Amino acid sequence: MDVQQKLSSDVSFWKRTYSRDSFLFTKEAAITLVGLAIFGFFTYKAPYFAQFGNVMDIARYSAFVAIVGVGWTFLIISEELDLSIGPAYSFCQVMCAWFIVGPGLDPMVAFFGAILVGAFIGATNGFIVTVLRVPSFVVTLGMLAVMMGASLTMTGHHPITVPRDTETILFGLANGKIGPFPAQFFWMVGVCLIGGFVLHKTKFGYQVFATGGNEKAARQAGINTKRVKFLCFVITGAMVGLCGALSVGWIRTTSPVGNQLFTIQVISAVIVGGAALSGGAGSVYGTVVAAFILGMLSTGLIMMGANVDVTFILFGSLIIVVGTLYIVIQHGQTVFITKLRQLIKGRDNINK
Amino acid sequence: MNNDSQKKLFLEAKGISKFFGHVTALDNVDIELYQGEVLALVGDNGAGKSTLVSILSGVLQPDLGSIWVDKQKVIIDNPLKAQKLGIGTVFQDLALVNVRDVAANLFLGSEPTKFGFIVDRKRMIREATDAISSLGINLPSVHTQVSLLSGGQRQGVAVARALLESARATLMDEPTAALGVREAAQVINIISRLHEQSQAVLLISHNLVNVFALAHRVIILRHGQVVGTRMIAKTTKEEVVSLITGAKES
Repeated sequence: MDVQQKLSSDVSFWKRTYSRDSFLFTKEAAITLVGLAIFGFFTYKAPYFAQFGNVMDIARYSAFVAIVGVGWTFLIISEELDLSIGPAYSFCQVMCAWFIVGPGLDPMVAFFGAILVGAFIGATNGFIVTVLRVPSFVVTLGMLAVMMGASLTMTGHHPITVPRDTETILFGLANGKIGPFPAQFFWMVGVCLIGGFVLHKTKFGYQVFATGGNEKAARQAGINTKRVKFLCFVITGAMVGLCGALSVGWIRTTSPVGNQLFTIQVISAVIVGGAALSGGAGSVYGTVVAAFILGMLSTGLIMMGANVDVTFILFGSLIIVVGTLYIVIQHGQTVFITKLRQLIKGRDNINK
Repeated sequence: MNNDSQKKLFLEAKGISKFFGHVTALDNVDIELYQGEVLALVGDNGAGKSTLVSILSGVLQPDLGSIWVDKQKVIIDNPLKAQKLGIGTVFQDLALVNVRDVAANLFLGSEPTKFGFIVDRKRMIREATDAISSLGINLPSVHTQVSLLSGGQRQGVAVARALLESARATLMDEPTAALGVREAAQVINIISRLHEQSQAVLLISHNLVNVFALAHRVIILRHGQVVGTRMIAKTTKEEVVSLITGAKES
């Protein structure tokens, strides 16, 4: 009796200390472990991997994925998606560089101009999705092609290069250093902190989760779900614009045909980071850690001698594998055997 | 309790009509809800019960007619407006966000905030815990995700939310549908307790046993029209059924 009492009080202690609310039982904890494991693996396999300079390089490349990833996290939690981010990113680069080279605007004006262009693209997507009620898949797929064509038309396939001798604080903001840390790192940290705060701590963030979790319920609770979704599109677009401007400030040129991988990288980061396509779940922290995991994987594999093209296969496979893993965690693996049997026999269970 | 002299009118809807395209969901419906009474709303499928609840809770707007609270004309064009007037609602499908925890669901759309935009999570947890324990709903913790709860517990959460919102009246759309016997009893307990607190309750139910056990008055809807109002004490189940089916004209 005594032992049992002690045992049950112990159990309740553990339950209290490590309840489901606690970090240890979350997807975020799992993704952190995976990240550390991958870091450890490459440190062991590739001798220069863990050097500070290399880590900062990874941070620099991952920063762009993470920044847009934060916007995409908002969007997917509200149960919408945006496939146009890659070409829109190119377009914002082109616009930012053109603002400087074409009408000769001050680079800082061009910087904010690019963010506005991005936000406007997002707002267009959001308007068509929420007001005209066209599925976001269709709208943003169309926008993807439009953006691709727009940047190619504007540039005639040639990159726009900002002259080296242009003196402006933009280049410092986008490519400077504070101590040993590159500017991109601080932009990422800033966006993630603000994004994480807005998503997880504010009323708007709660509304985003409610909208994606159960839109009808959210409406019945008085939440303007259309406005929430629209704003998520705008946030994503603004983040795309920010990245476009930052990359022009960094490399001082544009890649109208580049960035094919960007959409895939961002979506991989968001999915690997634990957000559900069905909406209502996800976190800024998970997305950011996942963005770093992707950055480590591509850098690490290349340092180990892999071909760059392999990264395409890698990211694609990763989305599928992680998506599968989350389903297994949710439904258990037995479901798959039943489904496989149904697939082979061609007979569908009425109860699904 | 039920003397006419003691009754105070809380909510009144006059001449409510609602059309969906060519379909007339509600046709010139009048309804009065007094403080401290349990008013049952019965009718066949498609009679317009849920539409009426949606209108009173601000989810839908009536095409014709007006709503009066405390003899003041009000326009309830948003569920938050209904909350401000002291009207809480338990919707038929519960309107819970399954992927969020109990606390977030209890304050869905009306989270307590600091500075107007930061959610006051501590206060939320505290008030949620209080609300759940005062209702006697058996829950592991307010941190639990709603998808992990049983049907009865979910219903309990939905009722608790309505009660947090509703200072004065609670609208319940089929609160005991899809519930086990024991869980239904729990909800019925809550309803009778509400009535003791002199709140107004509008109860929609298919279950005439519950209606006759709980309600003081019953309104019968048929094809979007009110076909009869009866005091429970002065009617029988057979009469109510015949009004619902249209076997008897009022």
